[in-house]
Amino acid sequence: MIKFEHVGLRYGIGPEVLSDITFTLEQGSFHFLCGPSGAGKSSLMTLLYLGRKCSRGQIHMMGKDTSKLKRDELAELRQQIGVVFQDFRLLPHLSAFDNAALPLRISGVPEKKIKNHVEELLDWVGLGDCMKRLPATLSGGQQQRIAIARAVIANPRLLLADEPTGNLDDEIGMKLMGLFEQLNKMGTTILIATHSTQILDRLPHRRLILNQGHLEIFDPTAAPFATPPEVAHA
Amino acid sequence: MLKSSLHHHIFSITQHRKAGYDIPLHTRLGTEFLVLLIALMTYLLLLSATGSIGLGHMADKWVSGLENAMTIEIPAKDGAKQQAENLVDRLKKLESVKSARVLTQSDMGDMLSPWLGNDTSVLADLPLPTLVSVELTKRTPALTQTIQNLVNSIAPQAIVDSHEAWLVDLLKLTNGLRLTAFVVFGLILFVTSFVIGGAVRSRMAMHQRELELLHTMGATDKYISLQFIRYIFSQTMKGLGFGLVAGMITFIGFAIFANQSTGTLPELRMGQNDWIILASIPLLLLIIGTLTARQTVYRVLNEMP
Repeated sequence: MIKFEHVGLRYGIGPEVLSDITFTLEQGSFHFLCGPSGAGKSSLMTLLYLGRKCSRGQIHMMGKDTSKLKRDELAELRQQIGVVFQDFRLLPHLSAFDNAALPLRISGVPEKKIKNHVEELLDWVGLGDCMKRLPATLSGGQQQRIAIARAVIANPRLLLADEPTGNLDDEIGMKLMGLFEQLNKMGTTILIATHSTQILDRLPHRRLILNQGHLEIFDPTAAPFATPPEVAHA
Repeated sequence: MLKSSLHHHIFSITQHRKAGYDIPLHTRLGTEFLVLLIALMTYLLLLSATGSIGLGHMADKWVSGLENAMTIEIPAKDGAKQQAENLVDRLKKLESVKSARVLTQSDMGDMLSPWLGNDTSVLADLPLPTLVSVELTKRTPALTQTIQNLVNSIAPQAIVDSHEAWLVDLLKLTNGLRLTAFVVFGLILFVTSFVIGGAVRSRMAMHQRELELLHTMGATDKYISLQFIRYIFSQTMKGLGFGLVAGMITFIGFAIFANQSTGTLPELRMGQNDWIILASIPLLLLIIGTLTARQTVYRVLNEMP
């Protein structure tokens, strides 16, 4: 589903922040993206949601070479990717309802369908009574849930989440991970960038471990007693 | 109090989303001058177009008065009257001559009244030339030459005034003024387009974060540009409204002034085509505004991956 081949990324004329990244994410898989601060996690996420072009190498997404796609085709591909940003990136002038409805409006879904769908989803994440409220009037956890609702509302094929539990207490964080697992069972490919050892210990999914721009893959199910590479580097 | 203010704010925001803005273009962020500028541009465009149309009409009226007219002046001497009558007889036989007549003492009196007053008795003592007024159906160089030859044969000392020097100068002046009005018209449109482009760029820079988010979610360039087009359209409509009102007030002022004038200048009457030209100005501004917004948004978005 997603294939990175010898991908490199540099900003301007600076050094490469990602070097020779090669990996594959199968359809319906669940991965964690780990690594210390400054390792290049956010840069890799940016490449995954097609927010930037790689400096070298090739990125294939859903069977398409992204470097050969036209602007409208890239937009169509982005519509199949849901992103939960660490800082939520909710639009402050839009209500919770309108924020969550954004991906559907972008895809051209009729307003009647949007209304039903958004109301149902916001109810499901426990924000049924906050639909008309602006993000600034909601707590961090509530904003997080709107960001998640927005990321999943269009039923994306790929869900990317950058530190989605960063602003939540452990209990809500684990609940959220349960939600991601549910989505994964429904066929969504999931990649979550996290530092949380609690989550990593509890959920034995494959890990993409970034260190100084280089990637290693660790599969806890294949080697349950092995030490993850980021620990070894530390 | 706080709750009610918050409710109002939320309600107004929802209204704005209904207007179609995912990007907060409804917020006041310093680009409100656009309405004022478009109002000013509309007003100036109306003035320059009306000026150009008015000059065209004036030139047409002056030219049509002089273009097909000719005056033959036979210096005062014995037999001048007879020469003039002979000339008129021969001129009337020419195909392209509509009319020819010797100006009477009374006609001369009317012409000289601004200098000599209405007492025509003094004219009898003055050595006035005999004038022949000729009206042509259509002036051609060949006809002018034929008349000149005829005058040379009947009254060799006579002077033919075909008003050409007048006509050429007048046309040069009016065409120059019309060209200036046209250039001003073009400049105003260019400046309008330039400023709208700048305003759109500035709004895009202010909302870079929102744009990036929409882009990440898969919004096409068309989806984003439509929001800016809608914004520029609404600002242009507001500006047009103010500009048209200011223009109407000025035209009414002109009309009042024209009614009080002595009639030295030709009266400006607007034809159907003139009204179509004036009515097309708001349309032209709307088209330029929306096209500029679209092009600018596409150009800026093209810098995104």
